[in-house]
Amino acid sequence: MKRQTVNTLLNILAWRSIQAVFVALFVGIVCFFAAQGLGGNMAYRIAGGRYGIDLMDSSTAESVARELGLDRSLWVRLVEWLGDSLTFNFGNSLVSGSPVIEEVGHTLGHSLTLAGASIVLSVFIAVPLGVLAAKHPNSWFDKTLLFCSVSLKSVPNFVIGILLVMLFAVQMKLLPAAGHGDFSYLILPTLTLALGLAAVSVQVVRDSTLGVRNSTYFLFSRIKGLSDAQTFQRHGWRNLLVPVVAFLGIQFITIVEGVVVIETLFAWPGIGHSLVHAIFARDIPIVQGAAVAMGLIFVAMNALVDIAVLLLDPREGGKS
Amino acid sequence: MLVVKNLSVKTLDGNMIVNPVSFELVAGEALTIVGETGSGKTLLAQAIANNLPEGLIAEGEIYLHDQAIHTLSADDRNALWGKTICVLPQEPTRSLDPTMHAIKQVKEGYQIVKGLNSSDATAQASHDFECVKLPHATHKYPFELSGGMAQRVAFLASRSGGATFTVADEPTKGLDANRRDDIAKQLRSLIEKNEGVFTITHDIDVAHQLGGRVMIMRKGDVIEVGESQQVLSHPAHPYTQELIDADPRRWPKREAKSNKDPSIVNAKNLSKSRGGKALFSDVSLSLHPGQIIGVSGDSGCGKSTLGDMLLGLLPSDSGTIEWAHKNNEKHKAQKLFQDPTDVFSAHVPLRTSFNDLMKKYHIGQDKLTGLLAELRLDESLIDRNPDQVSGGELQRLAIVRVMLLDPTFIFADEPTSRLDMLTQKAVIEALVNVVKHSDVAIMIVSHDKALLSSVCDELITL
Repeated sequence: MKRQTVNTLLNILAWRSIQAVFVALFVGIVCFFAAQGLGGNMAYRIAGGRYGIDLMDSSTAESVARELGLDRSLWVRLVEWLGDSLTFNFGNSLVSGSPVIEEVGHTLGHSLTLAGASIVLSVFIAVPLGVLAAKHPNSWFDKTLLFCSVSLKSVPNFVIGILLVMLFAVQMKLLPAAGHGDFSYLILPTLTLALGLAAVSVQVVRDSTLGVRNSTYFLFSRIKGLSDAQTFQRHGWRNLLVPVVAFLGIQFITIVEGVVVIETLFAWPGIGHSLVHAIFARDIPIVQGAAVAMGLIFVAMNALVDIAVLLLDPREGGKS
Repeated sequence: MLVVKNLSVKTLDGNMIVNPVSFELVAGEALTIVGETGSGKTLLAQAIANNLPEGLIAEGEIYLHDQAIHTLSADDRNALWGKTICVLPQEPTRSLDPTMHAIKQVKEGYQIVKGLNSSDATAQASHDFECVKLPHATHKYPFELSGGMAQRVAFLASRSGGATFTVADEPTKGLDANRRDDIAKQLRSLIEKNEGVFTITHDIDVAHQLGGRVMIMRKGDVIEVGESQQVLSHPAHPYTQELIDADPRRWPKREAKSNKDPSIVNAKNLSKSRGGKALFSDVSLSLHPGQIIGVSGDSGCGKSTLGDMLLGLLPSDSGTIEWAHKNNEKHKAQKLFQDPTDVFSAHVPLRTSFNDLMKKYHIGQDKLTGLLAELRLDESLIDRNPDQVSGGELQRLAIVRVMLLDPTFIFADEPTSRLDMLTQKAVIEALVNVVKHSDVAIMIVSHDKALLSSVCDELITL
């Protein structure tokens, strides 16, 4: 690796680390105030989350308020959270009492499994199809693919999910409809997310491939004597992947939004699922923890994309 | 080496684009086709190499090394690429893979096309880089190479498959005189090695340097064939004479204008650096109505930057620029671009683009009609889309567009470097004519010193 490339790499890491700190602070503080702004009495909500709506009354609510110090001023509680966060103590769930880092870490793992599997599956769908479509642009295959892309993208993700459940779980009884267990539970939510992702990325792959195929360097390699397959292998892949990898990074960010809906639909115990429940129960530490974790994943993903593009495209090494 | 009999190029529906031609190329002797854009010379080369654009077909007989290659299937024809036929690229920088080291792009020809093993291929490629004095560039990426270096790498890459018959289609397009001579030298070295070199050019100078035989083409017809010295110094056909006269060095010198009128723009002590390196410093100039000023220099020296600075498109590092026109008359300073397709909307008729402009600045239709006539353009041209008129016409339409605004200053940035000699002459004559009939001042940037010295009142060399 060239020295310049290493320097750029270090620059990326340094810049993204600084960004991570600010994202964490900003997201944490915004979540804190947003939770305060939600309607309803917070102590009642938390008591409801702990003991169940039926067993909650004004005395349990009062004891919750006393225990958590909810009567103290906002600022005191915020500063307390900030101070604790600096020592990597992210507090305990107000509902279950277990440490936030444990709860979030657990659900985050599930979500990352789902998101990662979806991205990987979408790549396996989009790249071969996109490359094939670009080989014969405007062929019936290319047009059918575009039609599928547009159709899939114009349907909300959860509708695709419901259709898949109806087909594979209800009709064919091949796969579980929802829940979490062995590998079979992963298939439908992954497929739902992956189809939505691939619908767009297949067209990005197709356009990128077509651009490379029509490029002067591709034609020059052909006329140099390399066959189409040899040229594609040596000069096609790397060049077409640069924009595709950058696009996958953007997609990962949209997937986080998809995860909240899809996890709820498939009762997948991921971070999106737990975030929604934590908001209902006013479990502020969990909300903060989950949101900060998602924010940090954004930053980490962006850093990974930057590094991948840097390694793929030598022209990036010159920038800083 | 190459025998061509009655070779023609047609569209699928039978329209003849290049009329049947027959010729022969002998190893060790250059054959050069000279002609203006649209003469069909590129199609002829593509018909031989079998890379015609879609929708065009070639007919006739082609024998290469005594093999009747016109009888081969398309795949077998393409299998000749690299091994038997070498095609030099027109745009070397864009012909190299931007993400691959230079040496690998030469090595792959030796390894994949010629069939050498990896270490022999590397050795051959490194040897090649030394031969063209680029041993330090082996592990550079194309974006780290200058245009001249990229040209040499592309030259090596295209020849690594071992072909001894080379097709060079406009290998010197848009290059300055030094680089052009380098390429002519490269091609001459092949001829001296007794290889076959088939060159297509609009540059009479290149044809001169290559020697051998020349063919003059116009509108799909071969007009004159013969020994290059004979044809180029004693042309039998008036069109050949016209082509020769289009060389800027043979243009009549334009009379210099006195500059008594107050200046249009006054620039003092301009300087600019890029990436820590000074492009130019302390450049001062002033332009008066009716003046043409030329800016020359090697590529990358900041010629275009200077013009863009005057127009306020780029900031200057130091110095001052004073305009005679007011701040709300910025459209009085205009730019003429190298590629006129940048100026017009690609998918709407030219008339729409013109009408939009005239509506915005309240310009009457008669002004457009007058300018079109002045630049000898047929008014029906502007009912077409930009891609349906020729490059020279589009550049003259770009002049019309600029002149509609009654500019006091036009910055012409390499306005003719993508055009062939005859068209170049027409465009430059149009510009000179515009200056004669109005009080506009023009700054022309060009790599062609001969052109500048024949039309400019003053020359700045950066």
